[in-house]
Amino acid sequence: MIKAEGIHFKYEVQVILDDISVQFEKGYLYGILGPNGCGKTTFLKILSGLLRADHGHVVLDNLDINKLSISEIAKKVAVVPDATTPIFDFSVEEIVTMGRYIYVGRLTRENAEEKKIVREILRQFNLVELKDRSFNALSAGERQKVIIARAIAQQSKILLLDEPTSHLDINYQVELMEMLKKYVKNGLIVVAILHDLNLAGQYCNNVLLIRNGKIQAFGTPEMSLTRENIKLVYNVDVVVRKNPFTNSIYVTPISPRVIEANEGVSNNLIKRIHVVAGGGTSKELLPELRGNDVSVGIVNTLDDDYEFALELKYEIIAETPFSPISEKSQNELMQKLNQTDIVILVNVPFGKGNLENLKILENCIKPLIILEKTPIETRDFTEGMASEIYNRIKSKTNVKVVKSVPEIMNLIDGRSSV
Amino acid sequence: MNALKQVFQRILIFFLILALILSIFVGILIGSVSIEPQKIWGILLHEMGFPIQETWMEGERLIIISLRAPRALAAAIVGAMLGIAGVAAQGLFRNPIAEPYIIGISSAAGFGTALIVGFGLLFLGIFTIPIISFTFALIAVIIVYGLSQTRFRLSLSALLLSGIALSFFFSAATSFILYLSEDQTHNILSYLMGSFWGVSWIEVYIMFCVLIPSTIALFYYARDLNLIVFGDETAQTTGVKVEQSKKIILFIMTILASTSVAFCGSIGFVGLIIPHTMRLIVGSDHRKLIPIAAIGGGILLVWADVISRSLISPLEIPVGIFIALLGGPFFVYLVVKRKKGGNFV
Repeated sequence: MIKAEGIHFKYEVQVILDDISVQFEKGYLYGILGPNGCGKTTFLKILSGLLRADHGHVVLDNLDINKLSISEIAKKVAVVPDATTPIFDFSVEEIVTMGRYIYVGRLTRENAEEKKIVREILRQFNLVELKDRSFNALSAGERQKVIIARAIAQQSKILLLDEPTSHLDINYQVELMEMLKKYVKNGLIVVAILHDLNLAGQYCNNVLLIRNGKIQAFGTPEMSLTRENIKLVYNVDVVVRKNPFTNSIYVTPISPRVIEANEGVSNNLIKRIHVVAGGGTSKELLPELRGNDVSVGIVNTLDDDYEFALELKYEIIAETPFSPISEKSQNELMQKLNQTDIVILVNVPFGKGNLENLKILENCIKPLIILEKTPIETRDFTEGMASEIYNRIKSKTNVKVVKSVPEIMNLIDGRSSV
Repeated sequence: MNALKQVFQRILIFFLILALILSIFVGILIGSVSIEPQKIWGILLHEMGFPIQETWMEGERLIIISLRAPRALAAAIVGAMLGIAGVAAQGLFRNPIAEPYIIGISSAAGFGTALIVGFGLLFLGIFTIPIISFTFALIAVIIVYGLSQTRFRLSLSALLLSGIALSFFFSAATSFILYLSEDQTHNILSYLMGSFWGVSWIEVYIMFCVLIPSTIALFYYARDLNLIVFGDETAQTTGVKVEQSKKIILFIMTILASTSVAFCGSIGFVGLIIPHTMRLIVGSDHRKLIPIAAIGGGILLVWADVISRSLISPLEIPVGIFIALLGGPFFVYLVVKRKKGGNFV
């Protein structure tokens, strides 16, 4: 267990860390995230005893780190720094052996037991074949593995890493994180500074988000890496979603252009428009509607249309994927239809999952534009039920059927009446 | 380290030791007065106490025992000292072009020597020059060290920069003395260039007594040096008491370099070339590099001395000049090799 209690750190007059208190437990992988200069590297250096906090303590197994000697700390905490470029060349095996520094006497050579430990670590890191190769001749990914292997050779309980995956190809990123995960399962505490929000979201048990030297959030990735927190810490707009396969979150930035386009449009032309979409069929239309008060739904959260709408910052009536539309969403849609000026139904394929949309539309009395690119029969997966309702809707008087997006835009702009 | 490579290395190291012993013998063999090898063997064995019939003249014995033997041994010892000090300097400063004189040792010692010789102040007899140059070297290191030690740590870059600044200062001061003392210029220069001319047994003993404990002490910190190459922070988090180790390594380097400068003048390039060349053979692990650099440095200087005194015999080229002439092109070779994609050993 390693604990930071009220850590303050100042560099000259600039406050780097301001009252950081956090506890890292056995068997967890922690990610430290934050923009450059937020103090995360300084924090890691304080945790490893390289820097002394101005106030506050780092507690290692109930002992104050400042009361421990360098070799006592090294037995408890191993560190992988952010960049390692030795000016002279060592072999892979020599470097991993260096991790045993504290265990080997000064004038003795490594005994059989020591050699066995090093060999085992080389094996765990798939470095056996590279053991005689010179470090400087390795690829960046292999080098990083060697450096982590040296830290593991220290056999400490805590491993601190400073951006271990930066400059690495994705295959090495995944390999390293999987490896760390394995050691975490065996009881190691791993604390890694990461710059990749998605890697953190996928692999970390807990994420510590630092902003201007203060803790912004500390908890599971879902709790820490929220849209609001990321906006506060990094000052970017993002979409945070859940990967349905791994159940981990992932973060996509939204380009600032999109946001600007949404702002700065005068209010008197704004119309309230609701789009019934699904299956990515609204991708042409949605950007055209920018500047209006647009809502979209009901779509499920894995739908492309959901993502488009989210990116455009439209309001969304959303439903979890692979489940029927809930009553709550149905009510929301009905309410929306009452408030809106214009309703648009795009060329949506219908299945049992989204049939409710049509049923509700049948009772809609607002001007309704139907974008029909392909006949309903070709996109009806409900054995005719959808077609039946669809055709009933088409025959209503408040409905206009069009074939293209420009036609819709003409109608909305009032150049022809709905 | 695979088995074959290990065997190869062991054989190589064995041959290097053999080569050092042979080199010293050759150093004793060659000189302006020619003496047969059997006589030399006889004299050497006789001196060691073996009952061998005297077939040589007393003059020959004196040449061998009082002139050539201490000279060859001094060359070997100074070579070893500079080789080891070079290894320490390059590891400590994490810099492939660092060498033991880099923090001002040789120029300060040179200034001390110039002062003494230039103004004829030999107040301590034959030991005036060694004592004064050693003192000046230490003063230089203390100044440089004082400038580089902050509250928490010894700044290596400050050490390098202030060392270079101090070197320029002392070099300029030495030039000024040379300029002032026209009649002594040649005399001063021959001291400054570095040579083993007229080395006595007592000097050999003193240097030997510095070399052996220094080597053992540095070897004691070999694994610290390995980790220091990776940076202070890596070294500390792996368990090295970095600040303490750095100071001790710096101290050992200073003692080795200052002693060699004190007795034999400033012999450059050995501390630069030997670590590089030996790294080619045994790799960068300081536990191997330190002993092998001692042997390599010894061989290099013994031969350099032999060649420099027999090339245009009876005239002697100061060995410092000879080594520099040799070292310049060699260093260019290393740079070119690096440019071609090889590692900088």
